[in-house]
Formats: sequence, C-alpha cells, structure tokens
Amino acid sequence: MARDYQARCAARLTVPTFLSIDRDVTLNGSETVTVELKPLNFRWVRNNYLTADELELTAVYKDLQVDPRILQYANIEFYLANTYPTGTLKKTRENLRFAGTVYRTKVVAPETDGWRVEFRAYDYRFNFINMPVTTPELFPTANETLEQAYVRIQQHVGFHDVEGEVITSSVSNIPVEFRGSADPNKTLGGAVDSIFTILGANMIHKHSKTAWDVWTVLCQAAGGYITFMDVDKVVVQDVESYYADEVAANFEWGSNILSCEMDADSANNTKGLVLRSFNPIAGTYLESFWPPIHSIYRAKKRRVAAQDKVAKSVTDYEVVDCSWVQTQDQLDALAHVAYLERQRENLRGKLTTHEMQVENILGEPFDLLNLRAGDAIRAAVGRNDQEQLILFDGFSARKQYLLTRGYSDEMATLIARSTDGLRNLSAEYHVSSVAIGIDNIGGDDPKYSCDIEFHNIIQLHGDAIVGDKATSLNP
Amino acid sequence: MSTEWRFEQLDGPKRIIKLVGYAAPFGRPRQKPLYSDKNSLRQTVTRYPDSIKEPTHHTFGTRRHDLELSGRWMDNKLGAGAAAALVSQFDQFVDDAVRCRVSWGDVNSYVGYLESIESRWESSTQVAWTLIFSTDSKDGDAVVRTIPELDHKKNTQRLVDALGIQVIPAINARGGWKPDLLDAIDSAIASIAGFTGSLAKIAGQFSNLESATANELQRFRGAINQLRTAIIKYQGTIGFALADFALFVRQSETDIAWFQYQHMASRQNSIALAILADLERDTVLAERGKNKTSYTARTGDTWESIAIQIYGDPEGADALRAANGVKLGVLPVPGKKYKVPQK
Repeated sequence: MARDYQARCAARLTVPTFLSIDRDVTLNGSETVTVELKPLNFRWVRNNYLTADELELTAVYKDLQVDPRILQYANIEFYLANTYPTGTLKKTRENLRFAGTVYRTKVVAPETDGWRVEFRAYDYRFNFINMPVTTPELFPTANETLEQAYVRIQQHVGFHDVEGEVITSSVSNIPVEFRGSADPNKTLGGAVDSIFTILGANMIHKHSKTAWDVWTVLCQAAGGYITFMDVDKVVVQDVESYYADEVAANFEWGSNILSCEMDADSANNTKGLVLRSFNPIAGTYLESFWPPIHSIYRAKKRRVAAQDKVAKSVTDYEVVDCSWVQTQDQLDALAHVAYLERQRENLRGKLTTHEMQVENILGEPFDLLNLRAGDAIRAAVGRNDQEQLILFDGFSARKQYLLTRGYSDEMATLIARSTDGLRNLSAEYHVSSVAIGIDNIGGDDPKYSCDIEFHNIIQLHGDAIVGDKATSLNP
Repeated sequence: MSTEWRFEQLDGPKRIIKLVGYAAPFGRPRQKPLYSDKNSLRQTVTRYPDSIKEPTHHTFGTRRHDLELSGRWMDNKLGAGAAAALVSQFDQFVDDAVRCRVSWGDVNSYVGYLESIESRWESSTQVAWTLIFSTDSKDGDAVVRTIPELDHKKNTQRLVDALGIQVIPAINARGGWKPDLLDAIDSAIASIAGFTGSLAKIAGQFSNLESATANELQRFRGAINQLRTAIIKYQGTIGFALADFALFVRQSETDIAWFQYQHMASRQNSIALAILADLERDTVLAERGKNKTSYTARTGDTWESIAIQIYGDPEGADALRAANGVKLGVLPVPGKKYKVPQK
C-alpha cells in the first residue's frame, strides 16, 4: 500500500457580531461574519462519547487583526484530508472533521516569530455539557418520545434573555439523527414502571449534572442506545449497528508504529465494577455491582463522613454495558469474574504513527481520519516471541527458546511460566482517544502525527473464568 | 534580450529602481552564479523502527528560497555620486517594508520582500553590495517554460541582421549627395561590414563563451570593440550632419528622404550597440571565470584592482600578496608577472 500523503487543512470561523451573544447565539443572517483561516498548526482530539472533541488551532494574526474577545464565541469548522496526489483540499462535508464553538482565543507574539492567534474549541457537545441543569423544565416527562425529549432539552440549553425572561437556545441549529434501529418515537417511560408513563411523571435523574448527562441517560433508558456527536449533529444509535461494521485497524511494530507505550497500573483496579444490561423487549434495566455496594460502604464507614457517601458510591464504580446478559444471576456471576479478570488484564497504552491510512485486519484500507474512540484496533508490539512460545510444549522447551533469543535466565523463566496465562489475551484493544495534529504547517519542517490511546477489552477466557461464560467486556 | 534588473514596490510608495549595465548584479561563470533560484519540497520522511518497508512521505507543498544578489557600484562607471545614490535608494526600499517584485529582464520575476541590503564601502566612490530578497513566489510558477537558446552565435547573428540593411537611399536622382559625406558614409559602412564579418568569423570558432579559451575571448572582445568604434563613428557621421551639409539641392522630397535615412540608421545603430553591450558583458563575465594562473601587472594596478579583475571582488588582494611574497603596502610592479592562487 502506497504511503504517500499530502495532508491539507483549512478552517472557517463564523463570528457573531460582538456583544450580540446575549441576544442571539444561533448565528443567523447578517449578525455573523465568516473568516477563512490558514492554520499554522493544529491538534484535533476525538474523545469518547461522554466527552466533547477538542480542537486546538493556531493561525497567523495578520489574517485576524482584531481584539481576541470578538472571536471567543465564534463557531469553527475544520477540514482535513489526504489530498495526494492533487494537493487540493475541497471543503466538502466528507472532509469536515470538526465543528464546534471557540471557548478560548489567545493572541501571542513570541520574541522570534510573528503574531499568532491560538484557538481552542470544543464540539457542540460542549454546549450541552457546559450547561448545568438549572431548571426542572429541562427534564422531559415519561410519556414523551425520545425525539420530543431532544427538542425539550434543546430549548432549555442556552442563555437567559433578561428582557424577555426566556432562554435563547444555543443549540437550536444542531439536529438529531437516529441511526440503525434507534427509534425516535420510543417512549421514555418504557424502561420504568408504566404507572409513571400514564401519570406523565418527570424523568429527573439525580446524578445528571449537565444537559448532556440527561440526554445520554435518556437514550440509554429509552432503548439502550448510545448517543454521540458526529461533527455537527447529534446521533442516536443502537449498540448492535454501531459496532456491526467494525473491522479493527491493524498496527504492527516494524510497519506503522513509530512509538508505543503500554501501562499495567494496579491503581486503575481500585474502582469497583458495575455491569449494566438493558432488555429492549422487557424494557428493563439490570445492574450488578462488584464488590457489592454495601461492602464499600462498610469499608469506608470509619473514615468517610456521612454526607460524602453518595458521591463516593458513584465515583468508586466503573460502569460497563453488558447487554447480552439477561438474568440477574448471570450478571452477578459475570460481574465477579470481570472484576477479577480486570485486575489481571487491565492494560492502557498509547501508540504514535505517522500514517493517515493503514490496513484493517482483513487487509483492506482503513482511513485513520475516521478512527474514533470506541473503535477496535489491533496493536501487535513485541508479540512475535509470545506467539512463537505457544508452539513449544512444556516449560523447558519454552525457556530454552527464550534463552536462545537472548533473554536472561530469570526473565526466560518468568515468561515461560506465564505463557499459558497470556496465550488467550488478544492484541485487540479499544480506542480511548485519537489525537491528530500537524505542527509547523507553513515552515520548513512540518510534522504530522497521530496519537492513539487505547485500553484492553477484558477477555473472560482466563484463569478467573467461572463456568462457561466465555466472552469479553469493554471497560 | 534585455538584462535589466527591475525592483518594483507593489504596495506603499510604489518605488521603482532599475539596474542595468555596470550597476546590475554580476556573477562569475563556474565560480559564482549571478544568483541561485532554489525551489524545494517541504517534506517529512518517516522510517519506522525495525521496518524494511518503504518509508512514509508527507509532503506539504514547496518552498522557494531567498535570492542573494551582489555587485559593485563604481562612480567611475556609473557617474559621480551614483554609488552613494543607489545605496540610499535601496536603503529606503528596505525601510519601506512592503511587498515588491524583482524581475530580471524577461527571464525571471519574483514576488516577496527586499529583506536586506548590505553595502561594503571600498572607497568613497566604490561600493560592493549584497542584497537578500525573501521570495514568496515566482511569477509563472505554474508555467513550464521551454529552455531558450542562450549563445553568443545567436546574438552575433542578431547583430549581423541588424546591421545588414544599411542602404543609402537613392537621393542622387533628385540632387545627389555631397561627395565628402558620401565618401565618409561609404567608408564607415565598409568598416562596419568588415568588422561584422570578422566578429562573426571569430564567433564561429568556439561553441560557447564558457568553453572558449582566454585567447579566443580576448579576440572576440577585440572584434566587439572594433565594431562598436565603427558604429559610433558611422553614427557620428550621419547623426550630426545637417541637411544643408549633406545635400547639393534641398527640396522637400530630398529632405524627407534624408531625415528618414538618418532616423533609420540611428535606430539600427542603437539596436546594434545594445546587442554589442550584451555580447561584451557575457564575454567579460566569461573571462572573469577563467582560472588564471598568472597575471602581468600594468601601470596603475593595485592588488585590489587585480583581485577585482580576477576574482570579481577586492577581498582576494591578501591572497595575491601572500602567494607572491609581497608585504602590505608594496604595489605591484608594472610588467612583472605574478602568481594567481585559486581562491
């Protein structure tokens, strides 16, 4: 596969007229001005669906000789593509990688360089995330549909117009799209007792601190859906179709990995685990905590003040969706196994590549500009010896092989004894975040890089397995 | 082909400076180019650890590098005070800090900023200068040009063509020329024809100026000077001759015919002189590029003037003195042969 790239990027600012922010932030008509930017460098980070994507971009100041305060509420569109061999970037929907709101504008004049403007922007999720729940009217009622709930939230996310005593929406131009089998007409009360639906009870969630919290919980409650931002629209999708066409991108040492680090940190295992399963047919939720929630309370009772108990109980557990398990007993058993396996397997890592395109595990092209948090990747680093070892029978043969490969006696012993335990661990991981950037675009030494942070998928094939519930979890 | 250098501001005061002849930048064939025009890819190449695959290439466009021009302004060639005036003009050009275009005849043209002018005063009338032009783009970057023919034979042929139609109009029928003037004109045209022939003959003896021997270049330059003298003499003959002096009988028709002839001949002579100037300059530059191993001093020579003739700048004077074991302050002896070290 050819590895020639011409990465080209462009950005467009849509700037509201200064101080019109309280009156209208929907950027309509003549109250906005569009400014084309030539980036000097950028870093675009795709986070998981609970966190807004970020863009940091620097442009030449001579293009923007204005007070930076004018630009701080601008909307920004960012285009990026591999344009080889033409070198011409088209500002099409396909090449639109990021759309969001500038939350910080900084003018800098370094001693040895010209004036520059640095922008930091979050995608439109930030408008939801940044909006604390200040009014109960934001919560829909149990007899409303998911689509109606979105409209309600949309109407209550924005800025208070003091004169009119109303909220002017800051997200009114962000549409919602239902993909796969996600049903916009699903009634929110389907997952709770039908009496609430009949009564039209308010769907208040006590842990929802922001509008985005409310929306994600409602999507899960309505049908186990996940919701995320696809550039400039909110998408609701069922889990099955979200992962249906996913074929892992393949990274191999000696082929496309420039640097890599892997970290097995037992400090990551201190949190409890809660497995959660939604049954779309019954419209019910199952949850299983491990360690059981009362044991944590008991352990901390002596040292934790009473008023902190609720908050601690939320932060001490890591939530994992596990929709294929449909009974409470199964879920409880799996929670225990998953907790033990996580302690053995937990791994986080980061790799850097300079590629814009790699092959997936089927050998087909995979565009890394489309890689997002939650996608699967295969990262094979230092696995050659591990895979070879499985071919040898017995501890002695494996140790002998390792000694011939140059390992010390102690390390050869350790690896040879651990081979059976490691053999079932896959080299497939889930992407935690993707950061793509180019430094010094206009200079003599421009640099493109793609940093991928990943974590493992817990394999329930290991020594801690109980029964025959062989499967995997994504923590 | 014009070799004028033109510096034109595109914004601000919109000043224009033109450099021609001895004021223009110069280089030395095979040793120092007139200027370097460099265009390079902005590219990063990644070779992965332990990889035997082809490396990854990221290209981010091209970069055109800065131009450096240098030369020498001398009052004795350009007129009193010209060197100081040019330094002042270019200082002002840099101070203006506006975008400008620099063009070299119809050969090349660049847009960017005049970044610096460095003037090194060698005497009150002589300045060596270096100019840095920060290039943003080259005009016609997208146009692929064909390579033009750049040889002395072509210029010589242009010269022959320019001088080949020196025809005395048939004025005799209506009153005739005065014999003295007619003889002078005949003689001048005969000289021009003779020297043009010898120039063309010498030009045909070598394929290009750079490969010509020093002797061939010297003869070629001699022929250029002879032809130039003949043309100037011819121009003087007809240029200052009044109609009363030229014609026996003056009528409106003969007057018109005479003035037409005067005008046409002057124009042809100007074209021929311009071509000769080009040829001479190319020849001088080629001569400077020759690696001399010795030099015979002439009356009035200084070590600096010899260094300028050989190396193109006076900075080689110390090397000349050192190679010949001469102390500082001792002048070259006319007629003596000195070693010329390779710089």
